Amino acid sequence: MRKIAKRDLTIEQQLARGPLDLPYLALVLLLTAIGLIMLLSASYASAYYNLDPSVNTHGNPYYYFMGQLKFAVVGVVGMYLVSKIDYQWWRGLSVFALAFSILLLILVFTPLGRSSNGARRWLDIGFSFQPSELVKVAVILFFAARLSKRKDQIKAPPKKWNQRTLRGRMGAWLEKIGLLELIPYAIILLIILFLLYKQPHMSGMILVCSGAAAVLFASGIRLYWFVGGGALVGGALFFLITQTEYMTARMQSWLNPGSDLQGDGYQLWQSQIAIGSGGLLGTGLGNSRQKYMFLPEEHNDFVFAIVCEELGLIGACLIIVLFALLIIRGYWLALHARDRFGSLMIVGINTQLAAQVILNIGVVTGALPTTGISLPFFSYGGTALMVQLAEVGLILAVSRQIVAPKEE
Amino acid sequence: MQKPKSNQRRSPGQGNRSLFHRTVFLLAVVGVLAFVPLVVQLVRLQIIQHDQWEQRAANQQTLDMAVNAGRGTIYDAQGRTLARSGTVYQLILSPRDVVVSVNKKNYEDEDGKLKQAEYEQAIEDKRNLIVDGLVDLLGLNEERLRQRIENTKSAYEPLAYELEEEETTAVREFIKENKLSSMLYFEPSSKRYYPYSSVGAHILGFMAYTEDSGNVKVGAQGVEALYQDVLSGATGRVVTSRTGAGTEMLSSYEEYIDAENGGNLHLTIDASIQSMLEQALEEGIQTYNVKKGGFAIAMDPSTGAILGMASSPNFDPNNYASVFDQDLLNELKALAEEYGEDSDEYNQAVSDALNRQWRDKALSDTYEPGSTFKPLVVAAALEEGVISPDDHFYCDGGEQVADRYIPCHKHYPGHGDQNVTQVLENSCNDGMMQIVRKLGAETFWEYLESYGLFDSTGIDLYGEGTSVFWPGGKDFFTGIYGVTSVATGSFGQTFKITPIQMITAFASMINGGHLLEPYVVQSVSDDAGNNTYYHQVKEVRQVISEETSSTLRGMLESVVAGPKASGRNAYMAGYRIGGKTGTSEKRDEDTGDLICSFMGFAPVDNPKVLVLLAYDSPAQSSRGSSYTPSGTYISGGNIAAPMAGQLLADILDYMGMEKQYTTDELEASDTTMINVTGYELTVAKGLLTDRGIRCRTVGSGNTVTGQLPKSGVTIPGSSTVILYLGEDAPTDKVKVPNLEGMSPSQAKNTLEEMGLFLKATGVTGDESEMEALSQSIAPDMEVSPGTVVEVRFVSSVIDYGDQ
Repeated sequence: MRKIAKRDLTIEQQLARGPLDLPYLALVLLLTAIGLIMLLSASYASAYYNLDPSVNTHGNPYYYFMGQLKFAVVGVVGMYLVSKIDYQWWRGLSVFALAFSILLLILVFTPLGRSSNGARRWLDIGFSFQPSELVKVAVILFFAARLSKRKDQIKAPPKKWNQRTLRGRMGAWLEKIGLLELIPYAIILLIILFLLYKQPHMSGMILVCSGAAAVLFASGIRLYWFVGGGALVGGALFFLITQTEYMTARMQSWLNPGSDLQGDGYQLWQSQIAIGSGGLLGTGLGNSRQKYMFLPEEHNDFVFAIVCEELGLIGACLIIVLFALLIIRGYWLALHARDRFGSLMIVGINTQLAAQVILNIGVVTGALPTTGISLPFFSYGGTALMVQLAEVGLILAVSRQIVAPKEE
Repeated sequence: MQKPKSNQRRSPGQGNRSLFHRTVFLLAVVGVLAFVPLVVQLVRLQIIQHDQWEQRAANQQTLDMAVNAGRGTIYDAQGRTLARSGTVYQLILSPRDVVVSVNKKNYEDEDGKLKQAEYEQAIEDKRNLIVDGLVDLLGLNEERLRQRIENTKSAYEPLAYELEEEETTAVREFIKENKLSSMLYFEPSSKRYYPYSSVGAHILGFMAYTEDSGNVKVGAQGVEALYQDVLSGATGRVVTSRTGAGTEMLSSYEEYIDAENGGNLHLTIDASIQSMLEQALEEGIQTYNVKKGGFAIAMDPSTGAILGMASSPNFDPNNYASVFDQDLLNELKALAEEYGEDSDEYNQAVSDALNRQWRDKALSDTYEPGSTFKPLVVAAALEEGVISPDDHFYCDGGEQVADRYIPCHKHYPGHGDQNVTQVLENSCNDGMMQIVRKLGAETFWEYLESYGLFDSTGIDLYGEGTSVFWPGGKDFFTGIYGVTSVATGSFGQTFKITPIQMITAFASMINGGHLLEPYVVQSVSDDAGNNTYYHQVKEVRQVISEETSSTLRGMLESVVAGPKASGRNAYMAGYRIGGKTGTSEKRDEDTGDLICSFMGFAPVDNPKVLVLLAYDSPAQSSRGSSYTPSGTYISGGNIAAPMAGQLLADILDYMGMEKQYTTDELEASDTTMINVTGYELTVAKGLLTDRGIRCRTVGSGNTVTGQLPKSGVTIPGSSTVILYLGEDAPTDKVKVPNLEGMSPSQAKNTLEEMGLFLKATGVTGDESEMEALSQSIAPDMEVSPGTVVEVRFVSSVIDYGDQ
């Protein structure tokens, strides 16, 4: 392909070649590196004893680490490539991305899908991956693309409602309170949530909701819809918690982990033992005891417990600070994005990432009930890591187009 | 901060301003505020609650493995092993691993879908393999086993306990063949063996799980219990880090504390003497249909060492939880037939029977010692100088004590005039009441205390009973209302002490006045055979003087040796036995049952062994009757004394004591037949007469052509041998006649008529009262002519030692 000279580029193209936001990139790479090291430490025993019967580690203690490392390298390269793409492309592509990801979600229920541990989340097409990872981004892209044009829509002359008919008056009223505008988003969300619910995939639902809600919120949807929506979600949760045995048990084991140490409360109890025994300074990198078959999922959802045990309060807080800085920098980029689409996209992705971090740490420390959300950059899982890095790539792509402040 | 609005190309409007505000809001909430509770929670867990979480972590992360110490062996006085430990195995099944061992992957189709039916079938097949194999090899209950193997949550199901090494080989082979080691394995544990079965069971005790023993058996009775710490040794420990699966962690800290094997106990108990005691008990119980068992103790009175201690009913410590005694088994069988084995009555009876057989009557039970107690009172009175051996006491058949008339067992006209020795010989209650009146209640009380009857003896065994004296104690006893108690106390009634207290007190009276602490453990040795403990004889106090003690020994010899004395049935020629009979009422039962006992020692001049033998409630011919169904007068002198006499003789023989004969006894003692065949009759007669052997002749002629018995045979000194003139001695076997109930002369004639010889043992004296109790060769046995038949004679003694 012929290389296009810089002078031949359009302004848009030139903008897309702007510099990456280095602080954000540095934070991402730092967290990825720390995450890999902690994964190695946490998964060492599990890989050595080959505890998970669904994988064969051959007793190689580096099994999980090597797998994750490959994905991390590919993911970082992918992140760079994604950041090179002019994100404006996603405005048009987002519709297809959403449609495609919903199609994949449906395909999960065909023989192409694969279930594990009672949940049907995977697609086996040469390799295995979770379409829900894709749908999380697609929803944000689509919502951001559509909502970024919201202002323009308002500017357009309002549709004439026939005030004489009841239907017309209803329509006008509904439009006035902003409900009509929300209907397409609501339908899309409900379809996706329904499909995820059928898998079932609780954490996927939470993350899709958090991303979508953040985009809707930032785009200026009237606040009372959030109040209403929040009330609705709260009511639904309350119903679930009190009316379904499964959730009640889960809540019980969270509120009172000591009550069922051999059953549901076991994992949280072990996690708290890990964290609590870490103390201020921790047992030292690699010296976790809890990883020796006490704490289940110690290299997946509960890797942070091992972090706390090995690095202590100081190390854990340091990592929390790094995550907080990453999130703050993300919002900073959103505030400085070149256009509403970029802002909304970053807000969506960034909020989703933040939700993941907060919910995961909340669960591991026992501050929140178990949800099954993994910790970005730390938890074992190749696709998840690649998708996270690709999302970061999207944010970096937006950061390229931020106009540098004029030099004083 | 630079206003971002100015960087935006689009004109600032309503929408963008809200985007800005709301993004800043999200930044504040999601980027900062949301992390605060998380950090707070971390601080709570890692700083505030750190200690308790660290403790919990340590609890589960350290593996504190016990290294079992070998339990010490228990030896008897001759070094024979009474109890030892061996390694046995228990078979453990992990039903969970049975399921895990079937690889799910092998039962998936191309799509990775599990073929449920086939997978479950594979698990079922594996279970069948194990169940069938174990039922076949070990005879386990199939139904129960199937239930347990299907309990897939469990990873630890002990299937069989205490398997011997050889029992495990077939199963080990089975495991190896079918590659089952991940789900079926042996765990070593320890088992206690008692090679002599029930001999000394109550002293040894047994091993059982107790409330706080956890999953190891500990000594539950006897020396096993009391010396639990000595025997068990110090369990070693290996403390390592452990993984969640319970295995040792790769590295980390380790700490070793070596196990120390338990010490070996060397008992004063002699298994031979112990089994003699048990046999004597059992024999008496069978002969007299004794209803409630009995007890027997043999002690070395000079040291307090217990040579044997038996209690009936007995049990087998190898199998302590099953009923051992035949009589109890029969009772249970009858109950099972009547009510069925599931009935409450049956289960209650089983539990009662177990408790009865585990109870060491000699140690834990109390009884009224009865007349065996009288010598202690006499000793006290002699020691205090209130009486002298030559004092006379007149028995008129009873005494008026306060408002009660207490009769002697020989009612009016009573025993008549007696000296102190005769009071004991007659076991005269009237005489005793007169003696104790001279002694005084206060002094009597002091002697009770001095004999150690208020305290436990301090014997090193578990479960020593506590004596029961008159309520009100000393104040009552020495007061005006205690007069009756003082009187009855003088002949050992109205208070209860343990047999071990009784024998300990009695020992102090005959050993020169030293109250000693009885003991059963002579020494403790370690692995290398070095003694870590050796028992020193412990004297509690001097109760009476050596002189008084010696006087009493002489008097007690008369009680046995005197031809009319109450203890004469314990007499054995060649053994200088002293002793005292006892027949005590069981006043707290309204059954009229009696305890017949005999306290005997030998040799009188230097007692080496002191025996207390008692039978609890021999069957009466009818309620309240004084006779057994077979017509024996129920008393210590008739029931316990003959047994005790034989027992003492056996023990002394076993101990290798030289026999001592009086001149009378010498005359009746054995001699060896010489060869006179071939001699002229007159020469032969002369030779025999020189040796004090009488003879009679069969046939006519001058030369002895045959003799009965042959030369070299030991025969009683007064026997008449047979010389055959002109014919050979007969060699056809003859049947031994039944001699039971015959007087000595009747028995002698009967035997000699058949060419057999009598050797009389037991009581000597007035022939008319004597009757044969037992014979050494059972009736109808065929023996060669000239055989010596030993017959034991007793005479009926009436010494009902109660008012």
